[in-house]
Amino acid sequence: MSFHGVIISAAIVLLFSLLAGLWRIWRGPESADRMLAAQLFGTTGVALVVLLAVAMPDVAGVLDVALVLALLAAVAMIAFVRRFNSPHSSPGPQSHSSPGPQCEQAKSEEHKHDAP
Amino acid sequence: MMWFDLALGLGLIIAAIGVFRSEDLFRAVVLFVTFGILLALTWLRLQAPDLALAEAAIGAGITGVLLLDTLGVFRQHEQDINPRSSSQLPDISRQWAANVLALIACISAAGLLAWSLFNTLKMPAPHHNLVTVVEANIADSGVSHGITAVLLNFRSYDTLLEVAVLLVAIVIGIGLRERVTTSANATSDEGQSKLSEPPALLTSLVRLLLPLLLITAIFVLWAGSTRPGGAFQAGALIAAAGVLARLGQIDIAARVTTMLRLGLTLGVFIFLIVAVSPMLTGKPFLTYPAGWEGTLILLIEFMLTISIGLILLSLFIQAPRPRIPAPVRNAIPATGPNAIPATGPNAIPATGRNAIPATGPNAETNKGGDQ
Amino acid sequence: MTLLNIFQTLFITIGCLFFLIGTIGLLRFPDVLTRIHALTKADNLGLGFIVIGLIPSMSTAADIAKLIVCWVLILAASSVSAFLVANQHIKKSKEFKDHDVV
Repeated sequence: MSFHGVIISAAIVLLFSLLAGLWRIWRGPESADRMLAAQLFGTTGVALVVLLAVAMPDVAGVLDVALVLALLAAVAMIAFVRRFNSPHSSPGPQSHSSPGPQCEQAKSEEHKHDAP
Repeated sequence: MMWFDLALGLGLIIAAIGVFRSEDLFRAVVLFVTFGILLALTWLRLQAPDLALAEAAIGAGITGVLLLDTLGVFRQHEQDINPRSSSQLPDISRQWAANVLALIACISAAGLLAWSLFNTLKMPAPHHNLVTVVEANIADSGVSHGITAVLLNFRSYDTLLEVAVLLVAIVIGIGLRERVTTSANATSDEGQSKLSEPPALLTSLVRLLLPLLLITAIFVLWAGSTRPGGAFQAGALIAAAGVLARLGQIDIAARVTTMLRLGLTLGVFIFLIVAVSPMLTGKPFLTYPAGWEGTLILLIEFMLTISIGLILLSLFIQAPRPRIPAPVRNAIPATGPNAIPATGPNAIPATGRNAIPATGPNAETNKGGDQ
Repeated sequence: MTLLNIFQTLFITIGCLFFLIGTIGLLRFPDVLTRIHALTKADNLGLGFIVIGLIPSMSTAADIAKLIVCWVLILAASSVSAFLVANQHIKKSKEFKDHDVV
């Protein structure tokens, strides 16, 4: 098997790994499972692009695509963590009539109580 | 290579179907981002690295983060205790009329595509191969990368119109937001989503990423002359830097200031000046003076990058937040077309995967604040 | 295939193996925390092996630098994201009520 064939086989394996990880994202009973989606796609996507950079050497700038994808995957991971990780994000039964600064203060105080 | 392409095509179809079939918006957004990444890989396989760069930066990157952020804000205000109602799409797939219509539409679209494909394959080879035409004229264009030459020299009119459309979009977005702010209670950060204090680890990561994003943006902009790159991708990276700063609680562009307005219009303004000034000496619109093409293209791209970055960032920050209606306990009526029946396909079962458990982490208890 | 290619193949194969192990862990582990563990550690290690395996195929030093920056970036972002998600899960979940969390 030539080296080119090795690269292509590795790319196919990674692609199936990515699609298989989707199943967990689909099924994941906890919200934390869905948050891992960004990590899965970021890591596997960058690996795939980097493999394609070597598999298609006549196309210029594929590594730039890898770099941009890595950067944006990092931003997406941070977006996931910030938006879906705060105490607000739990599907709680609290009913506030006016969401606003009071909600934020109440939550941060509970945060402090939880912390020790 | 063929198996990889087949798997890629299959993955694209699965992701696309998953976006439409998800009942949960979060799943749909995640699958949309997957679709974007797979599409970027497809562009690479089709030997279009500029499109792959744009798709990774704008399609999967910025759009994905924008959708996630909107969904996150939506969820922060989610007050209805019924888990099926707020962040889930209505399930119309059970209605047979919708199904039949969708089937007819799909078959017609597929038939039209097949017919046009068949006719295209029957036609003789075209006289002009666009690639050779571009390469024959590229020495006059001021850059050495074909795509940039087409975008900013041969067809620069299209680019001008594209950026003008973006500008109109953000003007409308800002205008709508001002209206929403004044009509509701105008506290200082009304409409901004409430983010808690970021953990220190996150702040360090943001501090590592921000300069890297800006440097990569300038690199992609500069590289546009000789290799895949360009103003749109660099602008998307700058917007990503702004979004990151916002997520890390660094207060940027929170209000529409004069500087922001200047930055938003800078791209179109400079582009128009460069386009119109040849007309003062009698030459047609959008002609670059000889010898200056490279410099002018770089100037235009630089201004466009700033503008596009600020436009995309402002769409993220300045656009009006979704108006969440006040919670109504009786939102799900017991009868009528929107009711959730006790049995049948739309029911909430008492047990099973979709049930609302009585205990456990996802349970709905009446105690507040069990974090 | 030259000797260098054989070494590259070895590293790339190990990297893909780690990716597969990570995905199997993601699908099969019973608990959220173990799943995060599998995904973060195995996948990033796999990416590292693939990057090392591809370095000899690069033509300029700038390409090698880009590869390594990609890897370090994904490593940093994955670690931070995994830690924060796991931390929040511990805080929210009742089974860890008495444990110390950061």
